Amino acid sequence: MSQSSDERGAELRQLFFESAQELLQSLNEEALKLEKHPGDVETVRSIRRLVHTLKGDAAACGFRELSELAHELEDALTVEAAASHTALAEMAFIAADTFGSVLSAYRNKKSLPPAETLRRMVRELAGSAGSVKRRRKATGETAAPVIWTEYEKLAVENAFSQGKRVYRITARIDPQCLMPIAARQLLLNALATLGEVLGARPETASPADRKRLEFLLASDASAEQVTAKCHIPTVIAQVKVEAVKGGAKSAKRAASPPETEKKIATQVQPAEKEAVAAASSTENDGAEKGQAGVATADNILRVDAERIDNVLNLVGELIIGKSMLQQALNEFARHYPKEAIRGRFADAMAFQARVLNDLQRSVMKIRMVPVEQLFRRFPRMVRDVARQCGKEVELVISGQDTDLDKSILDAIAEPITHLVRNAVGHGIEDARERTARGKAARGSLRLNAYHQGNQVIVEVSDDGHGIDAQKVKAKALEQGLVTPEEAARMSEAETLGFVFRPGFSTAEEITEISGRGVGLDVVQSVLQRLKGRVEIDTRPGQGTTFRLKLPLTLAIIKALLFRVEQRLYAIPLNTVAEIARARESDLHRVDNYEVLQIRNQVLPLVRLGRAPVPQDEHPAERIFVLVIALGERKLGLIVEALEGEEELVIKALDDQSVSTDLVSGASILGDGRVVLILNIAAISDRYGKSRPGETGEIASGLLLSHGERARRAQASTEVRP
Amino acid sequence: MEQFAPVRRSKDGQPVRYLVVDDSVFARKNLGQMIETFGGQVAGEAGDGMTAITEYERTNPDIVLMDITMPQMEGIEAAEKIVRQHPEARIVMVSSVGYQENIVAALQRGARHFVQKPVKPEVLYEVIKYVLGEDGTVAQAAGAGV
Repeated sequence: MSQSSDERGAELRQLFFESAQELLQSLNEEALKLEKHPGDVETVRSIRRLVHTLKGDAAACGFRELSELAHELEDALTVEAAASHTALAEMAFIAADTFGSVLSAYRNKKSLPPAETLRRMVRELAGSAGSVKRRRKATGETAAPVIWTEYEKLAVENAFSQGKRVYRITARIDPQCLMPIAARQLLLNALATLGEVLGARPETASPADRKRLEFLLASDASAEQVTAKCHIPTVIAQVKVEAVKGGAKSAKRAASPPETEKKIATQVQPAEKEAVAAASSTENDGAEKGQAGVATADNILRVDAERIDNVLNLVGELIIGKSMLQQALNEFARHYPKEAIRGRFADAMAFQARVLNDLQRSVMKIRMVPVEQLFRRFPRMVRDVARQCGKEVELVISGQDTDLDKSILDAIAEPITHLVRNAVGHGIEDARERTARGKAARGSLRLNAYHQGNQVIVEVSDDGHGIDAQKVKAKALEQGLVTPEEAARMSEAETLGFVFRPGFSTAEEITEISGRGVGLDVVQSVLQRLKGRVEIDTRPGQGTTFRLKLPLTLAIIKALLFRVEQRLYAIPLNTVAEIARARESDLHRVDNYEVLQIRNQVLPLVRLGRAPVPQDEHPAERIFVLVIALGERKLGLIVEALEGEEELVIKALDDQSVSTDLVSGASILGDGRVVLILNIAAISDRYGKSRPGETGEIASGLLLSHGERARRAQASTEVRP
Repeated sequence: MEQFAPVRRSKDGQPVRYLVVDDSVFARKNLGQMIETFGGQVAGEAGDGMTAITEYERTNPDIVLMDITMPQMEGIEAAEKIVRQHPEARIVMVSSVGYQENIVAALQRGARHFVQKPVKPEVLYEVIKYVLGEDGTVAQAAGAGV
């Protein structure tokens, strides 16, 4: 590799890794196709093409081992082999895995993994089709003396009779050139421009690996011209051009047989052409069909996600700038209420706001990618897991065009993988059990995605045996997670929520009975981090649906701003179901919980601030209660004053500045004030865990207990932009 | 090592213009970088044979580097169609050893030369000079042979 400097090489390698990953994905998809339709010629060709591209790219990057491996596979993947070999799909899967692990070894600069399984399969395949024989034969050929046929001799004589010169050309193919037949053709092409080729050795293109060529050429050109023409760089290493003697003698003798000469020409050439044409037309057929998936659009730009984040961040700053302007303008309007120029300011502001809005939306759109990017990896996984468990599972994917923020997509990859695995491994019963229950023997797993308002919903559903809420409840009681009274009160949704508790679902019996395996808490925690939610919908005996509700983007939220203890906080607006006004006297206590009755519902409350001291209680004091809906659960937050709603550009807080999970981020308002964004899920959790019964106190001052840290965070971020 | 004396068009001394046809973005980029080291210029790119033909019409390049296996229309067919319309077209087939037969077919249909993948810059350079023949000149008579 002499052509590239380090930097270029690194860039190329990066590109290679990316495109190789796509190739492997397509390879998996084709393998699945092949498994469904074994021996399908189109699919085999398509696989071969993918392997071929991988080989070429790997070689260009200097990844010799990978290139060789792909080369062996490609060679063995002939159509004949495909017809005779049934386990081809399996081999393609193994190939995809092997290539994948080799790639990651390259990427992490680790030693290469063994590829013996693949090599062995390739050898078997090659052996079964007899293609090895073809390749191994005839490498060490020596220059046997060439014998020209009678026809050719006649042709020579004929040429002489027409006053032409005849040359015998001996050429040696460049040892670097691995395509002797193509080299031969190229030389033949060059000679054809000079005159007529009367004879050639090797005669046709079929016997490969011959490094030495001989031609008879009838031409008007001089020996030097012929020699010059035969010097084809990179293909022909050596040329010897000799004039054939005896022209004058035979010239008179052989004026008669022009027909024979023609015959030779027409016999040799067409035969060759036909063979090649046949080969190429089959290739063409393959290319025309079934290739759409691999076609890469030329108009796609690869951009580092970081750059887009940068732009988005700047847009965020602009939005802050806009609110600064707005506030300055308001102040200006107050000072000079009669100033006519105000109207022009207002117009400009409105225009700017609109453009800014569009800008923000466009930038966010850049970050959007179709869910398909995630979904496409599942067909292979479902197949593997189903096979491991000895089950039959059909995967149905829909809504794969739904767009989702790239970072969200990346984040949910693991949870969804988890859910899919669980559904196949535990949710769906094996064929025997299914038929016994009167279901189709083949289980069905659905992946679906769609937009709903400001959210994207991703669903993983199976038609397995579902989760038995009673058993979950029993387990929760047994593990002491709930008291019997609480258990009796719990709704089904609340009960099912327990499967997301860390450590809960790992219990052996639950895994077997309800079929939900380890680590669903991972799903929950990721979703919380994304400010999303997960819901379970299950019917015993009929199946389970996990519904992931995700925000469209992580960067900007619509938020409700409110005050607690004179400080400003915000919560995502989409979590607020309603805002109720109440007086302190309306609040009741039940089991040390403060509750508020709204219409016919009793709403448990959380005091974010301090509870009023009993002696100087102002029962008439007005308070606001934000009714938060978290799945099935509702919760009221008591706040002192509402500030309004605003679009907040979320600035992530690093762990040093905030070590409470109650705060999920911060934002800067137009006037430079910092607002902390509360993590509703964590607050609700904290509420659930703080067991008021034990401490004898009501849940209050939630923010204050962590107040010191939060305040420090606020101080450290409080900078005027 | 990686210095090549730039090859220019004889008629106007301008950089040689290339059309790069390959369905792998990576391969195109790789070839594009080589072309730059030869002092050439990528006039157009195509990811399939169909696009190659329209791109040829649009850019009228001096040299076409054409992959064999591509979706929609393979390199041979594209090469054949281009040569039929433009007999002067200089098409260099780029492919790996396994597709030798196809290269032969392409050569019979008017392709001028071939390079095997992985493409070595020094090989491509020689091929380019050969294919250009009189129409290309090596600027500054620096190291002609590599």
